[in-house]
Amino acid sequence: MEGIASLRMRRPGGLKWTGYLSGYAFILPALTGITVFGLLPLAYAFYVSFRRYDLLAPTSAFIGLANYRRVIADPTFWRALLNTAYYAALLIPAQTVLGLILALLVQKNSPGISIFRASYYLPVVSSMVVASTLWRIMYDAQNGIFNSVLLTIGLPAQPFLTSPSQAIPALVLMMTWKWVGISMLILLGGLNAIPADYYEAAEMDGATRFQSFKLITLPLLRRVLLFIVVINTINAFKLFTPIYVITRGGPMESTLTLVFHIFRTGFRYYDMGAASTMSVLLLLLVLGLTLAQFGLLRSERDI
Amino acid sequence: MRPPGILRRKVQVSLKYAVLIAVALLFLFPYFWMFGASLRPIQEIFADVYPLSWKTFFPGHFTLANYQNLFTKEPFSRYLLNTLFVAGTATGLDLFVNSLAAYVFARISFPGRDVLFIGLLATLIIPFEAIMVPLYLIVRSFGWIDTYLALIVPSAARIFSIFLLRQFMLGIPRELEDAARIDGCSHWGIYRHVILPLSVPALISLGILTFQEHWDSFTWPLIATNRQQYRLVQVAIATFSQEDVVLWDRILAGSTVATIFPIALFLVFQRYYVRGIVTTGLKG
Repeated sequence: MEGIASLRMRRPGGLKWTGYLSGYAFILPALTGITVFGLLPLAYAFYVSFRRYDLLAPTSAFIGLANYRRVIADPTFWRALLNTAYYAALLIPAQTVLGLILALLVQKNSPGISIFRASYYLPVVSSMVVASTLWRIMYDAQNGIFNSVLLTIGLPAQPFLTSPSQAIPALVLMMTWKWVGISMLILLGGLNAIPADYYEAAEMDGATRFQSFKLITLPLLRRVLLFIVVINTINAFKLFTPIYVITRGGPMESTLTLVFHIFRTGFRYYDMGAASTMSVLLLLLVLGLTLAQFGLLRSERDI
Repeated sequence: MRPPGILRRKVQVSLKYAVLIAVALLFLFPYFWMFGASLRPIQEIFADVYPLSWKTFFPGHFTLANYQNLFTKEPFSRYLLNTLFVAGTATGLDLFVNSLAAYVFARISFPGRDVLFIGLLATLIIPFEAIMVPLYLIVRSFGWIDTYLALIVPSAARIFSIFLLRQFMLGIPRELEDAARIDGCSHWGIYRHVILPLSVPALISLGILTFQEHWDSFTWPLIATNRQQYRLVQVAIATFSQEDVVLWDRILAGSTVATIFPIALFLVFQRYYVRGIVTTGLKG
């Protein structure tokens, strides 16, 4: 036994070689999975976007940029893009501001505070389908609690999700409730990373609480806030489940989002060519936005 | 007389708690109402919404009929078992495959390792929604549509999990492995007997996140399965309202059952859960 062990010790080269081998072997399952179910679909999206690919037809054919021309000429695509951008434009500030308010509210440890933190986080851990269903009930024009409250305090009832102009803002409110817990938690981490003596020094200098918030908290929180903006932007462009569960893109296509349009084109109209083309465009869009925002993040760091 | 400072402080504190409680009620109300409504007779589900009264929040009559309908008129127990099976096996597979890879990225160096790791991290940007169509086509070409394989395998290998576990493993002292190595342990032995047992807290965090993600997953199961036999809970709840008739009794009872599970999990393992999110900042 001892002889073998010392033999191995004397041959570091051999050990290194088996080290490489098991390194590759250990990584193989994960690498295969990510390649086959992550990178391959990515490449395949590009491939299919250059082909006529009807799920019901037996063959597909190369058609160059025809799918791209078709998608760009399709007003529904632009409608979906515009709806999604509108949703993002409302969601991002709502999430950031409310997340910050909640984080400030629960930051200081006081009796029972963890119960409040958990309650604000609870919607995050419940499912999107259930949340959508519940808000659909609450928004209901006849039987919903929102209109019940409005009528009780003497205001007129609202159509909410059945109105083309109110549907997206109503969805934003719902999604803010659903996901603001994550923004709160990340901002809480950012707030706790600010050294307490900064505030003490400011207080000694006679700064009001608002002044220390403006001059200490906000500047030191900038990077975390920008991170919140990045993740909420990406999430905004992925909006699908509530659309499928509640509105199906209606009324009058006012809640038709990019991902719902992709889903419908691919899995209801079986037009995989156009669906793949829009998937590629969605990917480029998210990629572009993320890189732009990370670029901002980097220039922030230099300041 | 009390000094005015103390009084002001007291008013401030009670005001803060009033706000905290009011916001908590707003956040919890939908679940509270759901639970109450799931216990109402079906014709009374929406009966007390207007005018507002205590009955709006607490059902006047209690019944378990909605739950009875859910489990007798729908194969909901089948959906639950499907979901438990898929979420359980997918989580196990995720932990195994990705902890192996995480061990390599934390400990074994080979040419090109760091480039590979950074390349893999970059794939985090790819949103699932942008590859769901081609992924469907690939999984379909494997003949996996309407199988458990389609629900379990594609999501198993994840850079998110690798990253989370690697961060944790980097913090494990190397001395422990050196001792094992001198005793003649192979990489597998070190992984199995040193790294894995020491990574249990991270594995629990990741396990809870992964299980919950599978429990809640909707879009992929909706695409990858059609037959009732393979239906998962979230898709089932969505289909209760798909027809012209909305089956409110089943929706409310099913939603309650589907919600209790992850929330109980969250409350029991809150500490691990929060740690997982804070380490990565990437959930959602």
